[in-house]
Amino acid sequence: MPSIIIDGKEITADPGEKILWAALRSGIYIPNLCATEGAELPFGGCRLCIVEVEVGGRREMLTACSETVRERMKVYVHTEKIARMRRTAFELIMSDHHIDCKNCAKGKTCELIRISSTLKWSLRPKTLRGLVRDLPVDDSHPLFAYDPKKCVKCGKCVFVCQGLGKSFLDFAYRGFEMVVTTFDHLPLSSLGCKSCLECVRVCPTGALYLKETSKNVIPAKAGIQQLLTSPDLCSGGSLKETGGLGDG
Amino acid sequence: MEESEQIEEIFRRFHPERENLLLLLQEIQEKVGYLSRGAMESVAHFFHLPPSEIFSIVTFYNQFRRKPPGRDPVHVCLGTACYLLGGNLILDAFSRELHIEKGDTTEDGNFSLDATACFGCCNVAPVVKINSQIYPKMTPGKVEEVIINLRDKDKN
Ligand code: SF4
Ligand code: SF4
Ligand code: FES
Repeated sequence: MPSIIIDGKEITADPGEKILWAALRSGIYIPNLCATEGAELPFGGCRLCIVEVEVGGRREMLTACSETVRERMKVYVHTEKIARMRRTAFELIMSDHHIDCKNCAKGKTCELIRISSTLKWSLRPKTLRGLVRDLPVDDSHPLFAYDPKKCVKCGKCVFVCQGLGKSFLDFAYRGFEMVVTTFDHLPLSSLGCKSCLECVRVCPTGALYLKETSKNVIPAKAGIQQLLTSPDLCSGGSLKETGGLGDG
Repeated sequence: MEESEQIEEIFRRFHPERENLLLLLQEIQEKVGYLSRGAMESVAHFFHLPPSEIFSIVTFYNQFRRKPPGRDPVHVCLGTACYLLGGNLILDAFSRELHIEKGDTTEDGNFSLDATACFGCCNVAPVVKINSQIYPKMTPGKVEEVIINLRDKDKN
């Protein structure tokens, strides 16, 4: 088992594992928003997990979610340079985010709140102007809704739906115009989605959320309520325990 | 020929392998003029790919349009020379006058608006091409006149 050194602390990792997951398992928090454990091709879109890694006497900036561990690798999670870059990445994410925590379905389990409070940052960008786009909420589905103004384009819902062989959601457009949406923006209710609610479960923000009415319909036993509010399911925690509602 | 027949004809000339996807989309756009919802669905079916993925690809590239081109398709050049001489201002002016964004078509179907790269007449930049005519040395001020003239022409 390779051992790596993160901010001076030695931890063991599984061979072939990415730095991020080794760190999280050992209780070292590296901010992350778009990483899915076991993903064949890490997405690397949010840039929050950047770390410095010593390579041949020099330090390189790398994303912890995509970099495989090497024996005796030296990793730095908290340096001044990293803090600056990470902060900019976070501000960029928040600059087109409709910040409305009071009325947000995500409430306390929001990963953005977790990141901002862990790193003692404000949610609202300090150096960038807010540019929230005027995008409509899709509440056509009986159980859940989608508010693109809260979407951070982490791709988790896209990948999970894809993994289930459905692919109802995908990225569309590019650059600032990029959105996560359905084919030709068709309403969620029209796609033949069987309401497994995996997308809602993996969404780190209040973009995909359960409707108030559906909370009563879904029996507590099915566990989605629990899952959605369990701190373990923040993207920093284990994503292994699935068990949404299934197709039934 | 109907759109679906045109598309069927194109399908016959391609293997449903991923590397052919962009070529095939380009071909449909060239023959039909745009990629309709139905066209994207048939392409998804042909390649055994989810429709959302086709939509993702089509919206990623500027060259694809999802609305039929207008009777007078306006192409504003944003190639290097035209860009440096204010091509974006011309595009903005058309967008304001026609009340449509880049990639859109007016409701009456008369005009569509697109940005393209270089028609090869950089010496008279910035240029706009509408049907086969080149409008040289455009300014935002000339845009209204160009549109009025085309509207009058269409009426007759
Ligand atoms: S997604 Fe998070 S940060 Fe955004 S409004 Fe909801 S609770 Fe607040
Ligand atoms: S909807 Fe949620 S899970 Fe999907 S990309 Fe947006 S933030 Fe990520
Ligand atoms: S880039 Fe690594 S978690 Fe997003």
